[in-house]
Amino acid sequence: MRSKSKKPIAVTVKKLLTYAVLILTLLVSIMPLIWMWQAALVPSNKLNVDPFAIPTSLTLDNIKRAWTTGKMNVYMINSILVAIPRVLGVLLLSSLAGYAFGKLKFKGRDKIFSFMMFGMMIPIQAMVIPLYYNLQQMGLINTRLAMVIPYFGLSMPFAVFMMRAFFRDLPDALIESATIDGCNEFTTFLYIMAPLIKPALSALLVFEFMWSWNDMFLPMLVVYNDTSRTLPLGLMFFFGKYTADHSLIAVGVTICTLPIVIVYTLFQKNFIEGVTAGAVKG
Amino acid sequence: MTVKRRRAIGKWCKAMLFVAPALICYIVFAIIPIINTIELSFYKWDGASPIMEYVGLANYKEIFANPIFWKALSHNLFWITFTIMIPTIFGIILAVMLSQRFVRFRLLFRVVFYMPAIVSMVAVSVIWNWILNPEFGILNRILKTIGLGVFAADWLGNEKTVMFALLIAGSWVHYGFCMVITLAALSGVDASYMEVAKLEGANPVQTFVYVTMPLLKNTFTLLALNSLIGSFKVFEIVYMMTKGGPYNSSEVISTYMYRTAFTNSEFGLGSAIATVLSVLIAICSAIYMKVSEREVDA
Repeated sequence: MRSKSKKPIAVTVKKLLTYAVLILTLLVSIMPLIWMWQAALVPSNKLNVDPFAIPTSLTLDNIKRAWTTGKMNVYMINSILVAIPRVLGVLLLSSLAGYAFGKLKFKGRDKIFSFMMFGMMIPIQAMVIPLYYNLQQMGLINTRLAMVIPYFGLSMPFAVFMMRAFFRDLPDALIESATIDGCNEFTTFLYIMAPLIKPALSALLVFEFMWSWNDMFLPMLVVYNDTSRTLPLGLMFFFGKYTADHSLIAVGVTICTLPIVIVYTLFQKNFIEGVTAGAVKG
Repeated sequence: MTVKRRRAIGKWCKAMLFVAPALICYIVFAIIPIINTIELSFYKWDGASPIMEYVGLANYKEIFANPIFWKALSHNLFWITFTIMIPTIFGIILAVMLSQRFVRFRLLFRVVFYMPAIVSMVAVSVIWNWILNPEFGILNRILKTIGLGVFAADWLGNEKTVMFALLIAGSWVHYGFCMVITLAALSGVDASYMEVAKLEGANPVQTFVYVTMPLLKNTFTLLALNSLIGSFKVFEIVYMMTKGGPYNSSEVISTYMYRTAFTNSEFGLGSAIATVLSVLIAICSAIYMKVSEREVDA
């Protein structure tokens, strides 16, 4: 009898404890971001005295100032102009190659694929020094292109790996019937296969976009003037130069983080799928 | 040439049309630079002069004789131990908690827990730099409010605390990832295991220890190896928050390599450090791939 009356209490304690941990972690995960976003709206004379005070009034002045004197508008446009060609290029190249690796049969296929997967094991640190000199010889230092082109190669292993996995799971019968209907390899790819891997393409799209948007190591080496800086570089520059100007830094963090948080929230399913696929399979 | 053979060649050429663009880019921007880095590691070069002096293994000897390299490596190893212990285990616990049947708003929790992982490391570094700031940082202020003011410190400026301070920021971005992976593994686990355990009269702790934990063993190995690789690569957060200081007390291999090559213009030496780092990571990655293959087959 006694053990029966104890059980509901144990269950309640377990539930309470679970929720306590979950809610606490929820706050720890999001409060630093929310607090930065609100700090961007606090008048700078108040924020510079105490960045952690509860705000009494809000203003858009900081954002205006970051936009004009802080050149955040330039950084933001650069981030977008780097992300778009990078993402499109990687999607195009990797879906073509992924289709061939996943669906076509040709000599040396598995060897070439393993050769490409080798790149996943090597960190970018092993490539940056020669890359820097190659880009310099091409006259691309301090251009947006320098933050785009290298990734057509550097992003390939993961992207090809992901595309191949999705193409491989499509039934072969699709290709056969397309061939009978008069499609060649290319039209089969374009009209039959590509539309079917939309989920995979969107998963890769959000990932590549995130990596591009947040990228810092290579951009930091190849770009050091104001006209080509992306948001992370701009924020880094701010952080070094205007250490005492808390408002400007808070706006910088906000412009850097808010777009990617919105993209993530909208596409969270693709994100989670991509993370799991990438980690478990490769 | 037979028709059959000609057809095979035609097929190969067509397939190559699909593969070649990606393959060429990969060779030009990944493979050739790797080879060049290894080559460069045998030379002494300041990055500007046209003369590159061949020095054989001297760069490697210099690295292995330099105490800063060993210090940096020890910090990487410290980082590895800590990230396997704290965010990995915490992420697994979160996933186990979240997959209990009575939990509501599961999607909300999952989405928010992973959020720190998707924002730029530059932003993460700025945020934590403020939290840990000795003058206005919220951490010291909380300590003072709850009467533990004596523990308030200059977390990033003190040689003894700097690694822990960096690791807390590093953990903040990592537990969400561990949770997502564990959740995926748990969703693959047959719910009947849990039912049987319950019917057999196991309490929740017993169920966890004897049923859930063995089932998650592979996931843990996978996450641990992933943390291992990630910990060798760590750069942004250290560079942004401390630049390896004070007095190299938070130097890791990547920051050491960056400073050697791009600040001190010793590109040969920097290449040698990059090569050593890559070998370490490649070994870990090879093990990781073996384990994850087994995971898929299982």
